[in-house]
Amino acid sequence: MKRIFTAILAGIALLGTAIGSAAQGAKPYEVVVAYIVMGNVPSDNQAVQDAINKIAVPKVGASIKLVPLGTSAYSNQLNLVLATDEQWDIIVDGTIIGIGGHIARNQVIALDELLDKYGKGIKGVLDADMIDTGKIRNGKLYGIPPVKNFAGGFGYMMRKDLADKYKIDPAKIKSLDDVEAVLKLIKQKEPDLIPLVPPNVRASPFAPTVYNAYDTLGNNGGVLMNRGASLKVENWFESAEYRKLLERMHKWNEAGYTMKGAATNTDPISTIIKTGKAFSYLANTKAGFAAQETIKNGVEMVMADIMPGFACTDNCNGWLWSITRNSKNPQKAMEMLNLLYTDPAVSTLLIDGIEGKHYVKGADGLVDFPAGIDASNSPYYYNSPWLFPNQTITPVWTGFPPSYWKDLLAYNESAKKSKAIGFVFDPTPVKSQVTAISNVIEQYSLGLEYGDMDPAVKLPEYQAKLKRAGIDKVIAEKQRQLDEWAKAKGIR
Amino acid sequence: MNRERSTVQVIAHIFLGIMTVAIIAPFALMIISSLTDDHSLVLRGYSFVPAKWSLAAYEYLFNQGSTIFRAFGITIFVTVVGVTLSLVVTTMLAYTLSRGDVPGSKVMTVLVVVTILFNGGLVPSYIMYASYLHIKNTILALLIPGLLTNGYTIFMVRTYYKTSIPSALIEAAKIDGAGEFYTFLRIVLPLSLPIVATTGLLSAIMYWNDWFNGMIYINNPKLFSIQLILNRMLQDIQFLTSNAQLSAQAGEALSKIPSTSIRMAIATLGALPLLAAYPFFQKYFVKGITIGAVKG
Repeated sequence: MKRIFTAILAGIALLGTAIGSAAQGAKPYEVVVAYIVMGNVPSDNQAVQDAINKIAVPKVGASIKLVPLGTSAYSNQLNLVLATDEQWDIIVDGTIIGIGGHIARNQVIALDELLDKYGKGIKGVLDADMIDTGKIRNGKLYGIPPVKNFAGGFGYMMRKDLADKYKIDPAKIKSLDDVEAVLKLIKQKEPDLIPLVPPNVRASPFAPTVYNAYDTLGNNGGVLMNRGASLKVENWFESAEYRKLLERMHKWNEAGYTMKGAATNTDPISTIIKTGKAFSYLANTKAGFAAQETIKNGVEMVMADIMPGFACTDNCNGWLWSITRNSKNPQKAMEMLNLLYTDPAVSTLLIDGIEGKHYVKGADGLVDFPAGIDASNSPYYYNSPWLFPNQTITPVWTGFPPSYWKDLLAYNESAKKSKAIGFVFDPTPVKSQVTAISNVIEQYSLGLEYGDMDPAVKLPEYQAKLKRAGIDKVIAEKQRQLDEWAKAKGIR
Repeated sequence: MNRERSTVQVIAHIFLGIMTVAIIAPFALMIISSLTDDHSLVLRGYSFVPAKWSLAAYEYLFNQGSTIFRAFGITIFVTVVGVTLSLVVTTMLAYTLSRGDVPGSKVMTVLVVVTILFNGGLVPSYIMYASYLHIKNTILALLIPGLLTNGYTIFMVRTYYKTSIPSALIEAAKIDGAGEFYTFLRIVLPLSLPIVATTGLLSAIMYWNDWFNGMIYINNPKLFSIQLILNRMLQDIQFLTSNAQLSAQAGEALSKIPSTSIRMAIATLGALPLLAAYPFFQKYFVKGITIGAVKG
């Protein structure tokens, strides 16, 4: 009797361990994906995550865990997580987040081999040039850019109602001289209106990200003029072109074409346009930009192209998807990243949510919010979809042209590329100079570029301060690194 | 003599009057802006007498429903539970420290002092709470880190016990047969109501206004507190406006951020409950602080 009892007990114990280990063996590795959200953090993540896992687990053999965080929470938690061993596998990094520091502290890993072995799909959706912009240090790949508009043009945005009223033809506006004529007309006819507002809060129309007439090479003055046509690094702030822009802006400012107090304004530009207080702005444009701006401003906008699309490294590596040192299974992390870049169903779930619940598909194939839901109360809505690995394989939203993604990719394709695209400047050897320079830029750029300061007086002062901050040394270092890079790549 | 006094009084009154206005005016402006029509806010800026009143901001918040009210619920829950817990720990520990006859009370005192002088720093605390105590993403993360007890208040309460409650009283209770707990609950605690109310209010303010723990430890939107939501909006705006690199795309994100009047409405909703509670605590507040300060 006793023996039988023991045997039964042993049997139960064996069975128990068998079930236990089977369950453990079947549980796939969980890839934690953390990313930044600019706006409401969606509350329906769990449902979306479960839906993605139904596809991801069979395809990749790993499950996904989504960790969306607000801007300040993201940068704080990211630093804490990277300083500890908490498991975050995939993160959004990039020059905006501070990837240079993460590499210096060994917190993100090099992806070259992983990408070759497990990320073949990513190579299919991104050009080699674009992937190269993630080679932040020592020619090693530390992050992969999302598929978005890499190129930007320079254009002039006007309210359509007024443009029509005064018979302004956007197709005829080709230069800043033409813009000046329009501003003059508007100032005359609509004296209560602000003719020209800045492109964004605390951004000047001639900031490197807006007026992209040159390759910024990681900013701070040393640039390749004429859209990166040659490999000679020059001082943008001493160029004749910069002086001419400032003089023009100062003239516009004196004539009352620009917005007063633009340097201290904190109201979003779209709100100012929406309230009917202003007429136009200069902007960094892309394919489908007029449609986007119309939705954003709530007023129909028309666009005049001044300069066509142009792409340089700095357009591409602001945001990068990276894998952290904390990942316990970088292989699965890369496979998961590959899935996010290439699988339309997964990408759509991640960006737009679940069909019928978070969005509905119209007869025209465009998607929109379900009845009674909008951006402010949707349980799953991101206002920064361009941050996700691949938005171009998801459905287009109502209000945009059906060919929106195709146009965007074609625009990237056709845009002029800087000779130095894929070159990433490493500022470490001239770190203190770079800091000093950005302080000087902070002090002068807005005042000068809004036209509040007189360039005849202030520009020489600005240039002298930049010299003292060591801009020449930074330019020399840039040239040295660029020459090395060009030699290795065989570009002349 | 009389005239001199009245001059001093007049000056003092004017001075205090100005101070009061300086303190109340921003609050009033906040409430008025939350009731101002958005368009007139953008067109004319902040004003005490808005061109157009509007309840739109509050309508927006009520329509959003769950998010904001849930956050309110979290804040209230955390404040009530947190204050209760912190009062239990603080008063009991302070009582023990105030009695010189407890073995090891000197060591305990030193330990409490150490927490006032030093702290572990952010990263070690984070490792402790996230990797060892596993309270990340739980409501406990809003209750425990940095808020539960505070060396200063423990000493404040201890000093109160030492100076305002005669040891003869405790001895008398003992002789009459009261146990330690009975003495503490029935004799010491009722006598120390002013200091309990003071520390309670201080810790309520800390719990109510805390967003930092939420930012560091909470990823789940269901556990966001009202201050965290408000803070996040402000940080988002700062992030988007201070990164010139964000170019065209930032504008898109920026335009979706709630307008000024909505932000002001959230700030109003966040501040009002505590403002309303203040007058009821004030009499204890003044008493508690003076007793702690003068006799300590």
